Amino acid sequence: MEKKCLSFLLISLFFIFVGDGIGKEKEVVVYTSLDQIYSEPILRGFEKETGIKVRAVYDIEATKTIGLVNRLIAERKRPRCDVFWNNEIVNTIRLKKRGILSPYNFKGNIIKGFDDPDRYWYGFAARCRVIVINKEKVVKSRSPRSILEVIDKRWKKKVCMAYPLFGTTATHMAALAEIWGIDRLINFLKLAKENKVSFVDGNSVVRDKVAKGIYCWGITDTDDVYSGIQRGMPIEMIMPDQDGIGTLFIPNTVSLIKGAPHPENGKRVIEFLLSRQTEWRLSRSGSGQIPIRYKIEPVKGIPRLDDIKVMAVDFENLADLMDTVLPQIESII
Amino acid sequence: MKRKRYKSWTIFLAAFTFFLIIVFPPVIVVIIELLKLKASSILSIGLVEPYKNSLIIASTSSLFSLMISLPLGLIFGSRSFRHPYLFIVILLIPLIVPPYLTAKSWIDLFVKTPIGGPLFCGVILSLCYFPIPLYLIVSGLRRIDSELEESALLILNRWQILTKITIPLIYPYIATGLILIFLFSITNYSVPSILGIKCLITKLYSDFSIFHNLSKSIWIAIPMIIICLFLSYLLGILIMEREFISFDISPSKGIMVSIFENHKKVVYGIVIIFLIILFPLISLFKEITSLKILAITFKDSLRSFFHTIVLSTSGSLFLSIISICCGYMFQRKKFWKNRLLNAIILFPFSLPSVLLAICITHIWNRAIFSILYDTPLILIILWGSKYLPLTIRIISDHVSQIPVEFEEAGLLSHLTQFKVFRHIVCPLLGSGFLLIFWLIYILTISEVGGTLLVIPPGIETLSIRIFNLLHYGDLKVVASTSIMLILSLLIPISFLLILKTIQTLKGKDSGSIFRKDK
Amino acid sequence: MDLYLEKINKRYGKTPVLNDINLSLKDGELLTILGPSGSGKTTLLRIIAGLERPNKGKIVISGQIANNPDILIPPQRRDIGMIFQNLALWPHMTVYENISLGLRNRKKKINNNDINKIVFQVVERFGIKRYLDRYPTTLSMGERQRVALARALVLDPGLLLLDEPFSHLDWNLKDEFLDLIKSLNTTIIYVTHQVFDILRLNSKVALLIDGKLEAIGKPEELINTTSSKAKDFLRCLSLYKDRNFNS
Repeated sequence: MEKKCLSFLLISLFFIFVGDGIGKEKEVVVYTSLDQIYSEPILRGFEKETGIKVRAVYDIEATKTIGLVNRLIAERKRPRCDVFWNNEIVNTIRLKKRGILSPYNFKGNIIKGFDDPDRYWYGFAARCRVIVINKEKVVKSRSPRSILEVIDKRWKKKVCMAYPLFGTTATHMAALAEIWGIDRLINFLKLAKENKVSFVDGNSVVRDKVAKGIYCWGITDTDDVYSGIQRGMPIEMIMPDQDGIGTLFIPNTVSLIKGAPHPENGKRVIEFLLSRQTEWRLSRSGSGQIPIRYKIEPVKGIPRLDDIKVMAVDFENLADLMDTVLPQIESII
Repeated sequence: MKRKRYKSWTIFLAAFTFFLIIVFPPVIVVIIELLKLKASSILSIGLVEPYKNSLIIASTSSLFSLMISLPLGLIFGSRSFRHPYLFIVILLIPLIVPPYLTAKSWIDLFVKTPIGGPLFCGVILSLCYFPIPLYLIVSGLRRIDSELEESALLILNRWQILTKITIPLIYPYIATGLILIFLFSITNYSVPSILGIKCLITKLYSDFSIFHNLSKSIWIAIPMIIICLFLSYLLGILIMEREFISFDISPSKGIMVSIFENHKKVVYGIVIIFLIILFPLISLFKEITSLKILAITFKDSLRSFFHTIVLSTSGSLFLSIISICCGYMFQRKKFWKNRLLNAIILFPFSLPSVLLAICITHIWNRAIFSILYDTPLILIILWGSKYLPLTIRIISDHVSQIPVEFEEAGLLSHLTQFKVFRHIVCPLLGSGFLLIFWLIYILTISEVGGTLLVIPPGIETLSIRIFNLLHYGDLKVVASTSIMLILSLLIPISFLLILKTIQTLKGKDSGSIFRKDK
Repeated sequence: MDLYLEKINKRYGKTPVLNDINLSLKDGELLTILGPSGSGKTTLLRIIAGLERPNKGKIVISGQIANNPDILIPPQRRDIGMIFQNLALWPHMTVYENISLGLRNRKKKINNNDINKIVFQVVERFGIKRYLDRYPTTLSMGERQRVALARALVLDPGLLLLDEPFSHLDWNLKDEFLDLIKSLNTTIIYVTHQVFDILRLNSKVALLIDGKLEAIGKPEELINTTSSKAKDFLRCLSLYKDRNFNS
């Protein structure tokens, strides 16, 4: 019996050590902050097409994007990641400014406004920041139209949003800081806290709590609302501030990591992610992403890019603002 | 002669070295960071609310666990309870189902009610962890000398016997169970995270993920570290020189006085079993409406399933072997007699796995250690740093029950110390080995917080997969993947039970499955 | 095997257990150590076996120093057999496995046939051949005693130590075992607190009281001891009912 146990242990250790290392040249490491349920099928598709094994690290909702970004920063002297697939843009730019990324010449067309002119990152399949309402609790005629209504006293204790330190919510805060100024943003968040706005663990949690009727409405992303509607949740999507500052538009971005252990395989992943096929799949996946690289009609219920008033921001500036804004937000929250 | 003695003890020294390398470096990092502390820095962090919530969670969990486990323990620990093995199997279920799944089931039950908060979190955790004090209480009751009760029967009524004789005799087991629940609850990450509660552990995780600042993370953990240090000292005193957990549950042992009449026992048992144990499983599995979804999910999660089984089984096996060697050495070298040493050895177990993972990242994420840090072995280091102190203590307890004359007789039969350990002690530790193997296996499979921080790219355990999927809310996929998780937990125990059955049928019935064939 | 003990001292913490014990035993001699409970008899046996180390003193076995401040020969190399008070039979091994374990793990390897031959010889001598496949927990007390004896003697030790092994047996069985002990051709130290055993064995007796050797000699010689403690003890034992110990 002991011999059997020891044999099993040795075989397992061998497998963990060596088996894991077999064929290292046919693998690539991808860190992705897009929800696993949407990103995993795309990466599996890449594996099937190329035979290159993808070792993916997915993000958890509670520490969206920031968790992976800081992991990349912590690993910069000895990178383990080849490609960073971010579900937003500002943190990608922050990584570029810190020298974590490596430039790559994409073989396709460059899209102005969505690709880095220095070729450190490329954008594809986007989302918007939206308002999600509970249809049973909020009358359409009186539904919120602007994110400023977060501090409206009639919505006291009835609104939720994700922690403004992570993911697209953090990006949204940085965008507001650019348009309003940091002081106004901080004041806005203080008033929101006084109005008992609830800060929860992620955009999908916002959707879920609004759908359950725990809150009347919340601020989240198009993909979260869309997937909820597909599942029959009693929710609706509203494009905020169409008469004002506009809605923040956030593309996915992909970039090659500097000093990546498998750079050639990484480049192949980038080509795959920026292909028409991927953008089509993401738009047709349960997340309903908005195509930006190719002329693909979004799914029903998701607006076209041309039909939205987009918030006018400079993403490079947002990246600089993040470092200033985040610690101040943290002290309030 | 001295050289030969050292040769015999080489394997123990090697195991002890592993123990020191795995368990204590994170503790040393914590101490070093604490020494750099400035009081003003802690005050600026804003810990009042998380601290308050953590205490509410842990206290509620302990109290509720006691309310469930004490009456159940008095039922199962009585002599008239005829089916002890059945209760072991059924009561393993709450320990097998990961706490975040139980939380999800109860949240979905109260779908329209804004249920949540630290109190609810504490109740959920008590439903997951109550078998721990229950097993301890039953162990204690089965050890009570029947004459103590019999002499009291002459002068006291049933309730007086229970309150004045029985319960006071088992208070160390009750206290130990409560402390363990408190520690497990205050360091649990997954349930407060699912419920969106701001407590010390979620703040610790989020803060490190945002700022990757080791010092700040440890400062956040200070209240928890103080509580854990105090509790591990208390735990050490309570279990010092006392038999910790025993599975001697033969029907002839146990208390005579029972709190319930027979039919009431049955009703109470059925209500508890259904409500607490089966409900999370039923509410989860009713989401699976088609076999097609099940098949697709199985296919998608096969890699995670495989990783989970291999990692947890090999990790449990490796750590069990280290535990047996160290547990034997610690017991025979009388480490546990010193209270301070007791507390120091148990202390790493009381720390949250998130904090351990943060320290492990700081220590092992270097080029020279890439063979460890970049492979799943880093998970074994994490699990070892958390669970080895507890399992070593359990094995030491089992060793203490082996008369030392057995080993002395072996030495006088010209066996070396190692051969005495191999041929005489190890076979008698069969039940202890099974217990710690199982414990480590269950705990590692459902461990989330620390694992998330150190898991290498490309490796995904079922627990992490389910934890991530929970956030996207597709309950069908979650339920299907949960079936795989439960299967992964049941496969090793089924294998061992089959092995045990075969051995019993072959007539080898002296209790150990490690007996050599003639 | 000769045994020589010189000034053996042992203490547990501050409590002295053995005080300046001097003893010598010739090859083949039988010595009975007699004393009340807590007098240090078991401790003395354990020190001779090498299971404990004395604080001071020297032990010489067959002309070789087994124990002094610089040297310690471990128990497995002292060629000593011991029967413990609770017999210490390994419950997870059959009678055959209990007896043969020492033979299988010898430095100089013996093949299975030779092992079986030796084991069968010993078990036949003690009448336990039919119990070879059974486990100790399924045997009676007397049967277990025989197995313990067989296990101790199968390795042909130069010195056999017995720590009150027959205290739980009835008179008839005890009588039988004591006869068996007397018939063994090896150096033996037998520890007891019972008068019957001394009279039955009729060997040299060492009287150990409160960690000190108060008297040593044949049973009838003990009467002439000058030690008052020894006299008190012997009086309590009613060893010589008709003798007057007041002189």
